[in-house]
Amino acid sequence: MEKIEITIKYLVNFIDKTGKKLETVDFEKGADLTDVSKWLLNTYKIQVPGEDVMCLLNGHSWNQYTEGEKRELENGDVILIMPLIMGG
Amino acid sequence: MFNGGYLGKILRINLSTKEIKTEEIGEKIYHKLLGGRGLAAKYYYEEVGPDVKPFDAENKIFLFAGPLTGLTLPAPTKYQLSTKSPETGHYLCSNSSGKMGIMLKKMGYDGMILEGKCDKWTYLHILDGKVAFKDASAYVGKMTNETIEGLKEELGSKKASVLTIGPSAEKLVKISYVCVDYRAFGRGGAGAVFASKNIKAIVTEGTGDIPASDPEKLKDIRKKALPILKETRGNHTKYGTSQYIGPINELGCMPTRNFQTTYFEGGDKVDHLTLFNKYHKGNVACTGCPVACGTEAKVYEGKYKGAQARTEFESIGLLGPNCGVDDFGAIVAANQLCDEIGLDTMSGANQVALAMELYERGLITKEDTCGIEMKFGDGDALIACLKMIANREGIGDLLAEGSLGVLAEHPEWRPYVIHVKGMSPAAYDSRGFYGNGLTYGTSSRGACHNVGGWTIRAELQSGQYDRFALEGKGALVKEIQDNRAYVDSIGICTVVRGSMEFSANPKGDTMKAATGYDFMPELIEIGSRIYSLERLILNREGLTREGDMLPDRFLKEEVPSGPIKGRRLTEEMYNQMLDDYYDARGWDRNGVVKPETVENFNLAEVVDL
Repeated sequence: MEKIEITIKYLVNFIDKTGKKLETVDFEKGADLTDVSKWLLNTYKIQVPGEDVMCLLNGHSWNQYTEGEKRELENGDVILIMPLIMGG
Repeated sequence: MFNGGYLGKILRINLSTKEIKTEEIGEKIYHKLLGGRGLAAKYYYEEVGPDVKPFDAENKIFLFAGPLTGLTLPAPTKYQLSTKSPETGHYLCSNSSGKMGIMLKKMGYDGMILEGKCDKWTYLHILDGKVAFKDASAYVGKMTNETIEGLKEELGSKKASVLTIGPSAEKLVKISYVCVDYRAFGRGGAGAVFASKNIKAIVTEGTGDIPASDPEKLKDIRKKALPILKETRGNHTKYGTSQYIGPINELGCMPTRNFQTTYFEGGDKVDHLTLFNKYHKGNVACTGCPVACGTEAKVYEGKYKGAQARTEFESIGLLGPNCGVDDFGAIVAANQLCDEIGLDTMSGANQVALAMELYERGLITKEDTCGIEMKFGDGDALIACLKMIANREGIGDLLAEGSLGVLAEHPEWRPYVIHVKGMSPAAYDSRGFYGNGLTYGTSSRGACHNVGGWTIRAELQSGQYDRFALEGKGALVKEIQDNRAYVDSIGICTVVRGSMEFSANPKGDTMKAATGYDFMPELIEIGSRIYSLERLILNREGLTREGDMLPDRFLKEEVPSGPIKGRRLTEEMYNQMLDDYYDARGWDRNGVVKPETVENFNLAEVVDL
């Protein structure tokens, strides 16, 4: 099965939670954001989308992709997992 | 009819004649303008004309608490200042924490107006409304912390609130802040207005009770808010606002080397983990706040050993990345210097960043910089330049005049002077969040993310607004600004407001428990009314659409590197958002408040237009 590689970056409390700032993860070709959600839940018990988390794909909210969580992953995609921020 | 929250009186102090007056405020005014920022705008409109200059004796300082200030709620510490800004030459509104707002209300006042000018350096000691004019000559030249501690000792009162200015304000440096109990009216240079009136400090002490309509209900609201804050503001408690350094940099929006680019390669050397792991001394809380987002940083080793400051996102971002500095010790030392000498950390840092760019471009030399190699990334140069500004030495004398002062002398430096209406930006680059550009452009006081409306979460989280989209941003910015304007008028901190349901869809329980009147559904409309009142002031002072334009760097230069490489917000794109915004506000396409908007808000009923 062909694999694709994505990067997941963790920010603020998600660094505490995962012990990492970033990692690369392989998914099978055809995987989508739902698979990333499942992987995050299974691996770190991080619930995304969730009330206290922002999930960004290549610098844009997941919610903004017209395909929603069914948006298929592409090699080199970068996912950011960060808390809700509210101004300095 | 109110039966709590409001006191209905203001204290007017004429510094020239030493006349003290107590004046009443009609209930209708509170209904329409709420308090705090709303009242500060009303009195400014009525009493400071467009021809008054910031340092004229005719300029006034308005300080207003809100109906919730001082009540039994989380972080009920906020109050507002308005005056004519030395930095921008226009209307300035500013909010601060500290205890002065609470003390004002304990003395039986919702606000205080300072007018005229003392004939010599003076501090005011106001004990339960009784005003004493005292000789401040012993405090002239003293740092803010020395003045606060010195006055408390002299007056024998540890509980008093002390507002003071630092030495930079005494030299009329136009980017000087006002320190209140180690918190700040940070932006716009209000510190220099106090200095122009020969006021070094104001000590306030109130011993009365602040009435509330339903004190038991307020206690219940606080009790319910605490677990919400623990759950939703845990990152604030642990890391303070330094937590935003990583996200903003990672998103490619961190002002770097005078906004020349938007990603700082040394971001992980100045982020929350660096602060927490190497420099964290402890947390500091405002009165009644369970969140305690103030982060005290201390340098434990190296050449800046011993430096200590209450660091937060904006100061770190602008003293650090925007000056190219990745030495957190230098940032703490620079922060401490600003706090003590009286400089606004944000405008101060941005002026240093400007000097560094000018130096690297060869537009200024060591002759201008008192021999300092003024290069990006040099922590010693950062600190030296801040001192030059505060002391008005070398190029610092020009930088002390703020962005507009620099441009008046050197209009050819326009591409490098980053400002809106004379105020330099906060630690976000608008090329990474287009809504933030509209925020900076339409903020009532210049390039500010607070008064202008913090769009970033909506632009990241909402499915409706992409950060690089234009559609809907006008209405979004208006909504966030209106929201902020009412929150700034009630007297609580924006960090905790959600726990009391003061959001874009507010509920009236807290206001009703405080005042006996729930202000629903008017709260958002009041915010909008206040925003248009502030715009009427700006219009009267000559600001229209042209004054809302962004700096050339945001509109004409593509981001050269980092996650948003190639992005820029063109003038055409910006104008499209601006048109939408004006339409949403009921202002004409020149940014002037329409007569029907004034009428719809019934402004003539509560403001002498």
